[in-house]
Amino acid sequence: MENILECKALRKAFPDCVALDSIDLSINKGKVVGLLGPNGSGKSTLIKLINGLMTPTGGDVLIDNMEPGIETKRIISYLPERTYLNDWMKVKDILTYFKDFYNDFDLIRAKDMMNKLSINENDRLKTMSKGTKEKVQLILVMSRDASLYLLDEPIGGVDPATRDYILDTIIGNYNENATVIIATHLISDVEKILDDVIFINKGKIELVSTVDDIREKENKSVDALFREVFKC
Amino acid sequence: MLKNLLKYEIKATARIFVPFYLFLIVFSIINRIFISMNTSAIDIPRSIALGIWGFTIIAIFVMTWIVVIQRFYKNLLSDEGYLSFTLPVKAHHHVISKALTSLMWILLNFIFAIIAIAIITLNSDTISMLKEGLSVFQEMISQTGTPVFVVSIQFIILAIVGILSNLFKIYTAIIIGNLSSKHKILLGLGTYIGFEIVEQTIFSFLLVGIGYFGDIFDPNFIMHPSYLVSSLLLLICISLISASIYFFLSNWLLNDKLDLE
Repeated sequence: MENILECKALRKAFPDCVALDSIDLSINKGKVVGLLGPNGSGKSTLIKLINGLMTPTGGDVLIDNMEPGIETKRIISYLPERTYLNDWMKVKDILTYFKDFYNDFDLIRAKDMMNKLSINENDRLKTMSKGTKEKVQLILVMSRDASLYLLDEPIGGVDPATRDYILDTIIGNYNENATVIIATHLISDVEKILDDVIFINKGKIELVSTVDDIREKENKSVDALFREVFKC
Repeated sequence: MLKNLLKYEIKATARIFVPFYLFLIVFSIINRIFISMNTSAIDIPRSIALGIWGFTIIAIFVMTWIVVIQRFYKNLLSDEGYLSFTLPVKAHHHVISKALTSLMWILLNFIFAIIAIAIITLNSDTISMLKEGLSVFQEMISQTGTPVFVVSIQFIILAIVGILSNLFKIYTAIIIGNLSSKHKILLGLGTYIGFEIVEQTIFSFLLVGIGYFGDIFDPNFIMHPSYLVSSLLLLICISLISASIYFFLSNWLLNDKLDLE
């Protein structure tokens, strides 16, 4: 099976700490992968390196056999853990913004989802609550027909009911060749949609496995295994 | 994609500049009316109106540089950078779109300032004074043996290249400042001052050098007919070189050293 993502001895060091230490990793096309680890384990750093928002200290990261650049940005749809919306825009402005820059953006799908979550297109992004902004961002990101979705804490700031809607949206909106990587520490919520899991801790990969293997061999849920591995 | 970036850059900044321009024009007209009313009864409102008018012009120019810095930092290096840098766009297109948009506003500032002054002062007396001044200027230039047209074009090019060079210099300083995790503003400011010192030093050496070798070549070289044209040309070249250095430096930093927190 072809890889959508490959990391070879990938390393990222900051002046006061090593965020990622020699990561080797490959992820197949068509999977929903949970990138799971406690706070500060290096999840976001890994995602930013894949995105090109950070430059590696050493090693390589390849997306569909390409180094991060314009071509990889075209096929990656990224949801950061923070609000990246231009606050002077209205919802309809950010929709055309995405349409203008991403050829794979499906405007009709996005408008449809905005309607379902009762987000008014004429609302200003500035006046929205944090949760609503997160919903807008998720809709924007999931309305693209990307090859790789990188979702950093997609359900962190929303209520449980919306969480279910978001997870349904994620599962309902990607085609079978696309890969979804979800970085989170809220494992029980996302567990049901994952194919594979990667446990990451202190910048190192602790475990790579399919969810089925964990259930069969360890006879545990991913959540229970996570609590065991990362016991404080 | 550069076209799209320019479109959104202009949209994002127009909502700051356009109201200021409208305000300035309206206040210029109010001032014109006040001045034309020849009565001492409105002395106080008249001077207040003139004060606000002058303050607005100054504010527009100062605000422009604040917008230049704030827009670059906010849109590329703070949270919004997470979107800007995941767009399928080359890093230098971000820099170019921001620089060209800023250049446009700076030139518009001058045009609106001239219009504002014209609205208040233009009458038959000032027009004839202006014509007189212009002919004196033309005579001064033509005495040096160069066509006024050429020198004017050179001045305009020099101004544009100089503004661009300054913009790229500010951008580079902001990016370098952002490399520090704790003292972004201090490092940014320090970098900018450092750039200025290096530029001034090189420039002074160049002037001394030209003076020295010019004297050897011809003691009266300042009086040479091509002196004005060639010194402007030299200034344009220097500005072009510094603009290119800062542009490539900012581009390299954004491509190879970017670390959004």
